[in-house]
Amino acid sequence: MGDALRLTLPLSLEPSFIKLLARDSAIETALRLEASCLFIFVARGWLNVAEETAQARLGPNEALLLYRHEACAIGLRTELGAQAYVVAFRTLVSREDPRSRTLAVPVHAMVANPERLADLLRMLVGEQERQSPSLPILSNLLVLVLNEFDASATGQKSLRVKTPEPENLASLVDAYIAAHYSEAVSSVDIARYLNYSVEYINRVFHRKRGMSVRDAIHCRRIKEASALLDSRRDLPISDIATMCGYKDVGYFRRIFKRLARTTPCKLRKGLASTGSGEDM
Amino acid sequence: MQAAKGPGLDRVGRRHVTIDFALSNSVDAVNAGLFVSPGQGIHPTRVIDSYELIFVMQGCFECFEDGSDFHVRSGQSLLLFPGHVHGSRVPYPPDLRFYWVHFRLNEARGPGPDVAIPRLVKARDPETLSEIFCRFISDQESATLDPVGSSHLVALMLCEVFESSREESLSALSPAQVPLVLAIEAHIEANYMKPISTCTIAGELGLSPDYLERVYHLHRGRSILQALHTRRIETARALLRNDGRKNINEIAFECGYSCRSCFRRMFERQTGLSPRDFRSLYSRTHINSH
Repeated sequence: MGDALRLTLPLSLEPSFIKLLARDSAIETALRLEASCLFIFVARGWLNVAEETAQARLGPNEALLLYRHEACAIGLRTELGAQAYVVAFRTLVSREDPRSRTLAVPVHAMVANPERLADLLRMLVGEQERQSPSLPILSNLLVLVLNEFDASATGQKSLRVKTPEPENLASLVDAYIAAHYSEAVSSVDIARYLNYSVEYINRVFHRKRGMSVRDAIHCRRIKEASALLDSRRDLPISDIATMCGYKDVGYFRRIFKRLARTTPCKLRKGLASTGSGEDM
Repeated sequence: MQAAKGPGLDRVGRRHVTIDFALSNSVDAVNAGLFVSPGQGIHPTRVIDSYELIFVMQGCFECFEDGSDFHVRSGQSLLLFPGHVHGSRVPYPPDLRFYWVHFRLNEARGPGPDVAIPRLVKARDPETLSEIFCRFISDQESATLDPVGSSHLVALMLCEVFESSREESLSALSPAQVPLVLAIEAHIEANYMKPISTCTIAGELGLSPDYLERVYHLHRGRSILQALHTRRIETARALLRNDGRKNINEIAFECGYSCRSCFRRMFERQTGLSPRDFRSLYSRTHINSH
């Protein structure tokens, strides 16, 4: 028995250009293709593809595969904030080879599972950035990319990991605020409790409720404070501020004024127009 | 790929149009899994009819094949041959975790290079190798693994193992590794979870940051800061894959990022995925304990 395994590493495709186009400003890249293919996947934003007179604009999660027999120039221009993977390659296995396997890849499609494709393209770019990239690794990764694109485009792999409904998430935030408004609660605490990033919580909440989590906390507190100002006339305003989660009366008064358009004192004395506290 | 003329941009949007690729077909995958030690029991002594590649993530796997003994440590891979008796003489250590894959080879000779893949080697990039295994197992469990995908994932594992052995022999051959570069790398390795920068490393080594940067860039082709971020994101990848209980903020702190938005931005730049997407991509792995 030998001490090593001897084999021929599979090598089907040879990439000549691998790039992640990602800048915060528009950039232009021109590529020359001859008897080779070009695979483009737009992860974010928009990418303009131009060839002589023809033009196409690719949007997020869109992928395109081109083959050019004769030499031609392809122009690529990313729009602001876009991120796109571009791979030019040629094939090494002849279709006449009886031992080969065939992979039919669509020319253009929306990608159903963009994360899966982006992950393989990340590995491809990572290998390319090594000091001496391995051609068999690049080739195998590229086959996996095309295979993933094919599967994802035809909808076989629609097993997307289910994320909670944003509506549900916003209600969870509401519930947390209702239970904790009297404490020193912030969007960071809520994010930690629900196991999401603050940015995500804020984004989803804002989309659903039209206000930031912070403002929602203030609204809830001021609403409670207005009710207490009326029902507990025996309590000083500073106590009501504390009961509603404000340690500093001055800050409470400022927020109160902004949201209720009156001061706590005026509201209690009934000088403010009726119902101003119910507006929120 | 002998199509006369490819589709023009004007034919964009016709998704039934396809381009056919011929692929070399030298590896066939059988199945793969993640073994987690039950803390007892012993690997059965057996003969199998396929090759087996083992990649140990944690602990040490003691096994033998015919007359030779192997101690496969964390980060190393082992190749077992079909038709030979293999097994273990000692019970599974309680902390053992390894990926395994069974595969067969075809006689087909493609245009690829002929290489020799060693029995036992230390993986050059354990994170990437783990991710390839993870992807294989996850697709296998969700029944979305097709023959092209499975055979190329296994080929990719074998390529990684081969590259590992090549890099190992290359670094053994060149004793002229620059001590300063190694010192910088050792410092990053030991302190990446702390708030360090090129300046603090320079201070630690008693040299100017500019000089350090110049020497490092000359030998590694990237900046010290890039190397630091790469190292941090590597740890983040492992934590996101293996530790489902930690939230992303905790992971950011553990990797040396003081704010989660910095971490998020860096992670996205390096991987093209958000930490959350990365986690959900790699969180479905079936475990076996026997």
